[in-house]
Amino acid sequence: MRRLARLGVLALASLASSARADGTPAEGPSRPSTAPPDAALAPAPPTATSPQDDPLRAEVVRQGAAIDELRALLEDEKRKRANPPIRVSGFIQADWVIHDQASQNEVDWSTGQPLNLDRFTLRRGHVRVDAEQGLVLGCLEIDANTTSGPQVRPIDVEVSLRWPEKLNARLPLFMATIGLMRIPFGYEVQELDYVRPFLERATMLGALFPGEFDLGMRFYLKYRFIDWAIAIMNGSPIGDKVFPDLDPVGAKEMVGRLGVDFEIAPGVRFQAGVSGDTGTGFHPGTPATMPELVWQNQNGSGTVQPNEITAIGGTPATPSQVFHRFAFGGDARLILRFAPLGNLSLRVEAIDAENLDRGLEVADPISAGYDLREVGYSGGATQEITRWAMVGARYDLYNPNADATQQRAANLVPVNRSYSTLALTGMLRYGAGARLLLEYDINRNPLGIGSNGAPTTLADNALTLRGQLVF
Amino acid sequence: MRPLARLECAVLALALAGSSQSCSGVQADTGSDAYMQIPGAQFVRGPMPQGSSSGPGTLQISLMNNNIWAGLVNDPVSGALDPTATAAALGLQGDVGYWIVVAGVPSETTPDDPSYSATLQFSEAIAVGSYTLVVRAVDGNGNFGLPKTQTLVAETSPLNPPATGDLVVTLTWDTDANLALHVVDPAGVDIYWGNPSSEPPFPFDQNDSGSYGYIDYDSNANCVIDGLRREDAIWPDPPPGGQYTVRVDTPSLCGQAIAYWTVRVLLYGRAIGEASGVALDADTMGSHGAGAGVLALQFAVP
Repeated sequence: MRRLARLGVLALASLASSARADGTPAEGPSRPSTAPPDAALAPAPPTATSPQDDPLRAEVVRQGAAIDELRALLEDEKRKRANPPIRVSGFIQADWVIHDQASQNEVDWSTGQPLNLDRFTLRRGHVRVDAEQGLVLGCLEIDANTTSGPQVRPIDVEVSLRWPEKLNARLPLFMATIGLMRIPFGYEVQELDYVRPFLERATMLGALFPGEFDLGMRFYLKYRFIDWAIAIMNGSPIGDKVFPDLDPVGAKEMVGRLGVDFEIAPGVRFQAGVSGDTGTGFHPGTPATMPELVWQNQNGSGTVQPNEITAIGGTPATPSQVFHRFAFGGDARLILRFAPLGNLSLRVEAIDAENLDRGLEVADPISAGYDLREVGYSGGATQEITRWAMVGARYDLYNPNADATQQRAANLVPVNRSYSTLALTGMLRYGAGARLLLEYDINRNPLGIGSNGAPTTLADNALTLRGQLVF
Repeated sequence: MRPLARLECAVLALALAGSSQSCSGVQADTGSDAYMQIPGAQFVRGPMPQGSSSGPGTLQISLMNNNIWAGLVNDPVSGALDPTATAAALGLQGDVGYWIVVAGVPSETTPDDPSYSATLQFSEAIAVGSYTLVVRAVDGNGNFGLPKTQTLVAETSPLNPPATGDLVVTLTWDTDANLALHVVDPAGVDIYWGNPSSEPPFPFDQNDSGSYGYIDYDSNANCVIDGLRREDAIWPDPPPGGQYTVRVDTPSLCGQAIAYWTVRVLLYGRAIGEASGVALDADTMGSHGAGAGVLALQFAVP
């Protein structure tokens, strides 16, 4: 900043000096009235002059050269500020779960994690460093959170080659990227965490694309109102429940999205896309087991009786298997500008998938004995209330097994395994990225058992307050 | 329903104009404070509904035996329900809640009736005495039927009987951690897993007629979990007079977050002291030999 100010002062001083020189009518040539203002700073062409003019003319030439040099430095500084070689940015999202119906002052014996959910938590603390060198650019983004205890992890680490170097509306933009990057599927997966008007993504996205980031290579093309991305990825996203950021299968996942983004009328913007994902899932094999004797103290005597001993035979190892999985999705967004209130934004997204759940109820058709069909959709609306506030609502539903059944008495009955959330949110905004967001989530799930034995909702409504700052 | 949940339902009903989203479902509850627990079943806090003759009946309760004890696990129960039943509610009379078990396919012995089966476990807090197991069938509309009952007799655990002796110092704890009892006798000898007896080593003094204490068991040693969570220092004969110091050491929490412990002292069958505390990760630091652990209590024997 000081350097820029110094350059500015120098430039002004030189201009003033030059103006004084040019302002002496008897000592300099008159300028044509059509000359651009900058022409006043250029050295005057040599003309026939008296000998006493020479030192002044030489001084004008020298000052003109100095001004050119300063102008070049100023432009260079401006360019560097607009596109610095390294940029540091980030954001913080800190939550207070004021009340969650599922909260208990207990411990989950299987994981050792507390079941209390009414707590303060650092949901996301990201620091991002972007760098570019001509056609090559890259970034390193680190996420720190306390969702399941303190955790620091890489979340977005990528290197890209782009063309052209500078954005040009008349040319297509092409970018090839390798590293840990967002999965190019749907709209909400791509939506930045600090831009999203709701606390979290729809449940279906957390299940099918857990963590939103995966390792791979992506090709991106954008021309006018069309953008297209296709990626070859490991298929085990950062939030995968079984093999996060690993890849148990050699075959790669192919993911892609074709989208459009244009203004259909003044103040009305439309965005839409179709996405696809096809890949290979993994069913782990089992190791060989040895035969063993099991004692069940059936009569409570505490002493071993012959009829209380059972022999369990050993089993041979079973090989791992792979299975095919895929997903199709569509998304659309309509943004209407209502001055002076602000934008009304409407969004819908739907996905039809098979064997792709990696984050909620992990799909394993080998164990299930049949392919698991996953269906999900979401729809929402947000309305800005001036630049200071926003309100919104979103409903999303996800069914991890559309063919689920339950043995109830003598009957095998179909059951609804759907998870749904109605999110009602209100937000206060300040500046570019400071937010205070209050959201009430009305959650329905199949995790409880009703008195009649049928799956029912395990109460899980939650009220959460979030503070956010983008820097 | 808990008061806070009830208030939330009321507010939500107003906000959503009675939307069906508001208050349906069951509350998350592990039921770990119930005397009787059923892993995998749905716990419902509060008394079991009375039911009526219009609901389905319970045809049979089949138990391996009626004797139970604190800490008993894997105690199977099964039975048959009326054909219209889709679930069974099981609970101990007077307990803090009951459990819902989904009805299964008919068994071979009752081929026309839905069955139910569960594995019972009983809390460490259950006292010796008589209890009533209540089973009610529930139909698809949630109607409870009339109960069928079975008496259970809670007795002392045959696997972990109380230690006997003139002086017994008992350490118990509540999680699968490795805790160790240290008792320093009036002679200054620390009796613990590394020195399990105060009796001097061989050769014995033939004229020695002293009374010695010993540790009966090193529970969860090296984190090999045995489920007992109890150690006793026992003096079978009248113990030497003087000051005794009891310490509780924590060699390892074995992956547990904490362990609540209790020390009780019985002298000639009469309780003369008790202390409680909590073992934390910090307590696992340092040496675990003689003199280790935190002070639990001191007592004097005349």
